[in-house]
This record gives sequence, structure tokens and C-alpha cells, in this order.
Amino acid sequence: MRAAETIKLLFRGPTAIVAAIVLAGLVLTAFLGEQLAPHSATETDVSNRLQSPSADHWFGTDELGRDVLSRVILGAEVSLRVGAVAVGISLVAGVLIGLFAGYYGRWVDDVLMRLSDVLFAFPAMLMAIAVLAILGPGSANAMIAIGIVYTPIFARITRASVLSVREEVYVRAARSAGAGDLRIIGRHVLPNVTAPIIVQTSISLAFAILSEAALSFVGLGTQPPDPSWGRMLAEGRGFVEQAWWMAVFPGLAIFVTVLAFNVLGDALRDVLDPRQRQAMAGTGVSA
Amino acid sequence: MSDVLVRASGLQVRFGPVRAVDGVDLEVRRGETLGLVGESGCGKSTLGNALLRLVEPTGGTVEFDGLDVTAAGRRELRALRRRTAMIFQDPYASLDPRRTVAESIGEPLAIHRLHRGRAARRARVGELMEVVGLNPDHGGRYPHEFSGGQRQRVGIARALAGEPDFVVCDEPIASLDVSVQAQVVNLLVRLQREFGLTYLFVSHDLAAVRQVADRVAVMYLGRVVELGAGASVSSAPAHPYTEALVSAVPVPEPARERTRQRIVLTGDVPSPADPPSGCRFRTRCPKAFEPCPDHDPVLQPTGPEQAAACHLHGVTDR
Amino acid sequence: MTAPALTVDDLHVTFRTRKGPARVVNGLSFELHPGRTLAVVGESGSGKSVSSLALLGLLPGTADVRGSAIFDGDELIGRSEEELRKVRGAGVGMVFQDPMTSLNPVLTIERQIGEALRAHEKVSDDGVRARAAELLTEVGIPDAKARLRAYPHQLSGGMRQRVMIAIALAGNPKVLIADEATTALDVTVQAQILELIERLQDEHGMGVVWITHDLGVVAGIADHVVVMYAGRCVEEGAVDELFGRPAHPYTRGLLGALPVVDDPRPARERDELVTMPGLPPDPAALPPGCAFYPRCPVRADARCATSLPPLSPVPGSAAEHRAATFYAGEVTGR
Repeated sequence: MRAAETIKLLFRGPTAIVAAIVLAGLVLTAFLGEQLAPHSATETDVSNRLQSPSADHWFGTDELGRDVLSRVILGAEVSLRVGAVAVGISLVAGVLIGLFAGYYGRWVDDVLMRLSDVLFAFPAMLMAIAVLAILGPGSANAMIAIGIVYTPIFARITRASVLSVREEVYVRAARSAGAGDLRIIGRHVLPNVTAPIIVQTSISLAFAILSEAALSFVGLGTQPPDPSWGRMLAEGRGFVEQAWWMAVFPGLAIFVTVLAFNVLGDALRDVLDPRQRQAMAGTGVSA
Repeated sequence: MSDVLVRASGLQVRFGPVRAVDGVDLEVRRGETLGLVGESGCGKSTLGNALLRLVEPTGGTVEFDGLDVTAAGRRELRALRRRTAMIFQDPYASLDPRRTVAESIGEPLAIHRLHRGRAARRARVGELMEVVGLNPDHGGRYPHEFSGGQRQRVGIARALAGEPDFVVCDEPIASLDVSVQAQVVNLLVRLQREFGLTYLFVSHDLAAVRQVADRVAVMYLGRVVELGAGASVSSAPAHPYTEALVSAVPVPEPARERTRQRIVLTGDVPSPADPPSGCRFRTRCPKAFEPCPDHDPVLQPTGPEQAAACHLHGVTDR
Repeated sequence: MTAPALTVDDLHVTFRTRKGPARVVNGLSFELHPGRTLAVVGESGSGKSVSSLALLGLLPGTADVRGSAIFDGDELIGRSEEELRKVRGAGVGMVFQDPMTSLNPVLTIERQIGEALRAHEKVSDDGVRARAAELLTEVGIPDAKARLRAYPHQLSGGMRQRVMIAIALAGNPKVLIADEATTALDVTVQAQILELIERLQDEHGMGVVWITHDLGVVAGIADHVVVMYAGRCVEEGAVDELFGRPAHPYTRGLLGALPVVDDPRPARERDELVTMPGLPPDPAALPPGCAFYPRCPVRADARCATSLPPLSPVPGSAAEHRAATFYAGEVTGR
């Protein structure tokens, strides 16, 4: 609804604009990857190991002589891909669960939501590690693990909105016209619960990227020699005193990305929340 | 072909302990407007929904044109939905904010696969918009771009889309301004004549009901307490509740308002979860007498085309 | 005649909006005498509610209020929040449409009436309880002592509105403003509340401003009527004059739009209701001439589109019957 207006309102403040620019740059970096990287990210060069930042190696080199900047650039692709696929999994699974649980209620709701409560009860990281312990380490499995971990959040948010939307008169109106459940869910309920889901997607992307970094940090995520910010952070840890750049730059990349997604999520919340929206649009005189 | 289109027999709707509709027998005749008046909580809206099986009756039956609605299967119910429609009270809430008005009006067409094909459907939607007095070029707009009265016209166009026989109008003017109410009332009357529709006109507004309804049913606490031709119900009410209701409707004539004897009822409506024994109105009735607490009155004729459930016309029991 | 309890003179309210200034009230004037009832009638957006909120400084910061409102010898417009707080309740009581949202759901009735009592004077807890029970009895709530401990949701809509009236009465107001106070209620409950207000008015000699869209209610309770359209008074007069000889086409349209409950004819033999085409103008884009001109069925005068008809006496009527139209002479008489 009124997508153009939403976007206009969204970018009224400078923070959302900065966040969007950062994220656009990040996506571009992920896409261009190889073309953008000044050096190879995986080729080792022992003669050039642990070089501090210089004109040739802006971010310095690591203990195997690989260019840190190139690895950070290629790491963007890994981080974003794992984050996006993981969130995609939890989005689809969570929204479906939430839609059916909220719309049908009763035993469907009980079964689906108790299952997701069980998932929710475990600490997120522990849960992801447990899943990876079963599936085995690797970035593909990390996506699945993170996806599973974040599914309950989407399920809950969707269900909560569905509970109020399913009571709307326009849903009753569709039913009175003869619309079946699937039509009502797809055409009337889903389009009207998107706002909180969009907000959650943005915030979950931040957490998913953080989780991927954490899993790679403990060696369960992206496997060497593929560059991953979390893995680079782990490798850099041993060299903090001799080569601070090995940990600082990937850490910075994680920080900026997570921050940008969170800022964008907050801005989206402000714009998509109807009460906030009215306040921003000026007066709503009801005389 | 019977002249009764919709018939409810012993209809009951309970929500837990709450007896929203508690044993209603009612007929809606083909081509007429039956007004259903009563105050909030009397069950009039629930009754309207139950006739279309939009809420499940917990007892009794509803027949639509010979078909037992209460026993209808999925397919029959779907076919029934084409032949019936509903117009809702709040034109702001009854339209999906994320769909254009043309999509909303066209939804019954899509559901029942009528006027198939893009061009045919668009033409039909345009035609419907014209019929209700909307500019067909505005089909691509969203509900928030329309005023309350225009939105209600959209709701009416949607109700007409499947060419229904029976339309339940559930407080269709209650949330509109006075001058807009008149427009919508006139439109509904005009459409009925044009398309031979049968209406159940549910409203708390007796004056509006009198303007459109051939016959009027008065509800109190889940029951129909009086039923009759519009003029007789409002000018010669046979039930003390109807009498109080008619006397409480303010009339825009100062001299009459000043001298008029209002019957002011005391107390509140009892809870529909725990209605009084015998006659349900007896706790507030200015004319209650001995049989009222012990006998539950049934509708009995009090004149030509008029019936009331009151012991004043002879003691009865359900 | 006694001095007016409330005199409003040339009240203007403008809201700052994204679309530019929205002129919601444009020069409203009226007088309210003690013990009398003034009805302000209009449809949504006519500015009737905004004017009363403006008097008590209850509008948001985006509203710009100009003009004058003299209550009890003091100017209300432009006063500080603190001074206005003393006026609200103590001098002017207000009752709103929805008694559920006007009451705090988590506080007992006693606390809420007590708050109103304490706002005006220092009272002991026992004093509050006694006075609150007295007020509830006065507004016709049976078993008042027990009801003091109730929460709003435990009361019916009519009872809640009685509680609101009790709260408004707590400060012994000289003026009571009732803003669509019976709109959300059923007609039989409305009849109870109307009777209550009339009784209280007789006992306390309050002036009542009754803001409503319901001309039937107005006919029953008002002494003087102000009809508002697009933020202006388009017609005013004594209730019999105004209903008997409506002069402004808008007033006539409103009256004609009402179905008559005791018209003996069956529905099928009735005439269509009188309708006015179109909608009230956007307060951010008022037309240059008469605001009703685009919808007016008469439009007899070329001046209508360009200049604003002033509120002037209706020929052949009592002096206080005035209408803002150029041709009141030709259209009076129903």
C-alpha cells in the first residue's frame, strides 16, 4: 500500500538514508566481489605475511600473507548470502506457521506455537550449535541452523498480527462473499500483516549475520579457505598484539553491517506502524 | 415458488453461556424489506449473520429458498454465498485497505467465476460502480481516498456484484453523517426496486427502519418480541418494549418533543447469559403483572399483520 | 435577562497541516445564559467539537486559537495551562461521547470521582467517599456506596455516562459542555440521560452547551440552536423558530434528510429523503464564497460563489433568528 509514500516518509531522516547507502554499498560489494578485490583472497604469499596496512595492502595482510581488504570484500558476499538465505528460511517457515496458527486457532495454534515455544526456550547460539552438531559444520548447514533458530520469532510476530487481522470486518466481508480460507489468508490476511514482518526481516538480517560470524568464529560455519568475517576475527585473535588489523577490519565490517540493518529496521518500524505514521503525517483532525 | 425466501425456525446462537439469539422464528418474504430493530446486545446483528451462516447457529434451522442452510455442505454454502450478500456498518473497516476498490468490488466475481476474463470483469465492475453512483474511473483508487459515504457505496456495489437475491444490511447507515445517511437510504431503496432484492435491514434506528421496511421485527434480549407492518408497529405498538422504544426516539419537532410523554425505562438490560425467568422484559416493564415471571410468552397475533410476545394479549407459554 | 455565563466571540481555530493551514472554526460567536441550553449542531468536520475543546485549551499544539471566550467575567483564550485547569471542571464541566475511553480502566469509580473532587478543594478520604456517593446518587446510580468500588468495565454504557456526568458535576460547574454525550447510547438509555441532564440543570441552574448531530435530541432539549457548517455558524435562532422556519438551505437540507418515525404511510409509499449532493469542503481549501455553495440547491444569487454571506436577521422572524445566506427572505417557510 502506498509504497511510494512509505519510502518518502522512510527517508525523511538522515540516519535511514545513511543506513540505506551503507547497505546498498555492501550489496554492491558482495556482487562485484572478485572485481573489486585488489588481490586474491585465498592465495597465500608467505614472504608477505603480517604486513601492516600500506598503499598496496590497505588493510594489511594476515599470517599467510593474504590481503585482508580482499578477504573482507569477499567476506561480504559470504556474510550477506548466509544472512539472507537463513532469514529467508525463517521468514518463509515462520510466516507460514504464524499464518496458519493465527488464522485457524484452536489445536492448530496450540501444536504449532508450542513447538515454536520449545525452539524459543533454547538460547539461540546453543540451538544453532546443536543443529550444526547434527548436520555437520559448513556454511550451507549454518544457513539452515540459523534459519531454524529465527523461525519462532517470525511465527510469533505473524501470528500476533493475524490474530487481530482475522477479526477485521473486511475478512468477514470476504467470507460473506464466499471466499475460502486460502483466498482469505493469501489475499486479505497476508498483505495486511506485512509491516511488522518487514521490520523483523531487517532486524533479523543483522542478527543472522552476527550469528554466522559467531558460528564461523567457533569453527562451525564457513570453512577455510573461504573468507568469512567471523572466521577472520577468530584467526586474527591469535595475532592481536602483532597484527591488530587482522581482527579489527573484519570486526568493523560486522559492526557496520549489523548497525545499518538495525537502524533501517527501526526506521521502518516508525514508518510502518500506523500510529507513528499518523503522527508523522501531520494532524488527523477528527472534529 | 413460495413467497417466503428465508425462514428461521427456533434459531439459536449461543456464545458460551451467552444466549445471543434464543429461539427465533422469522420469515423474510420474497421482495420485501424486513426491518430488524433493537438495542445493542439484543442479538439483531447475530441473527442477521446466522441467517447467512456467517456465525454458526447452535440450534434451530434456517431455510433459504427451500435449502436447509444449517445443513448445507461446502458446495451448497458456496452457491448460497453467491445468492446472498451483506452490507456492513463501518465502511472504513469493511474494505481491505490494501486492495483497490475495483478489486474489492470484483472479488465476488472472482470467487464465483462470473464475468470471466479481464475485460469482462472490468466492465462489470465499472457498471456496478455506476449503479451505486460512483465514478467508474476511480476503480484504481484505495479505500482511504474515499469519504465514508462513498466507501459505503463501494460496499454496496460489492454486495450487488454476484446479483444476489437476499441482502442483509447490518446497520448500513449507523456510522454515516445525517446527510449521507439519507443518500445511502435512498440508494438502497432504489436498488431494491431496480433489482427486486429482498432485504433484512438491521438497525437500532427506528426512524430509518420505518423509512425502508415493509415489516418490522423488534428484538429484545435474544427474542423477537413484536413483528408487524411498519406503520402499525410504530404507531400502535402491541408490546410494552416497542412502546418504550418508539417513545424514546427523538422527533425533530420542538413543540411535540416538549409535550410528548416519554416512557423512560428504568435499569439496565439484563445479561443475555442469565435472562430473567418468564418474560424477559418483565424486569423493566412498566406493565408487568402476575403471569410474567412464570410464563414465557410466544408471539401471538394482536391484529392484522401484527404479533407480539406479551401476556397482555392473553397468557401464553413457550 | 441575566448576564451570560459564557460568551464566545469570533472564535477561530486553525490547524497546521502538511497541506497547509486547515481552518476548522471560522468566526464562531454565541452566548450561553445560566439555566439555558444551547445546542451546537453539525456533521462531522463542521468544527462543533473543536470549538468546545478550544475553549478549554484541550487542543494539540498544532492548533492556533484566536478570538475571545468570556467565562464568568474572565477571558479563556490565551490563558496558561494552569489557569485553564482550574476552569475545567470547577467552572466548566465536560462530558464526552465515549464513556469507556474517557474513564481510566484501571481505577475504581471512587478514585476517579475523588480525583475530580480533590482538584478543586482539599478533602479528606472520608469526605471524598461521602461526596462521591452523593454524586452517584444524584446522577441516578442505585446502590451508590457499592458502585464506588466498581471499575468502569463492570458498568453498562449508560451507567458509565452517568459516572462521567458525576465527575463533571464534582466541581459544581456553572457551564456543562456535553459533546455527543448520548451518541454512543441506545435510545432508551439516551432518554434516561436526557432526563437526568434536564433535572440537574433545573437543580443547579447550569448553562448547558449540547454538541450533537442529532436534530431530534436538539428539538427536545435546546432553547437556542446554532447550526454549523465548515466551521461557521450558518444559522441560529430559538429552537421553535429554527425548526419551524429554517432559513438556510443547509438547515433545510439537514431537516429534510431525516426519516420521520411516525409518518403513517408504509415505506413503499414514502417520498425519497431529501439529500444534499457532494461533501463538506476540505478545511484546508475553503471556497472563496459561501462554503455551502457547491452543494446548495438554491444558488439564486451570483454573489454566493464569490462573497461570504454574513449572518443576518431572517426577515419576518424574531431578532435572534439569523442566517448566513443572501436570500433568506425567499426560502423561509416549510
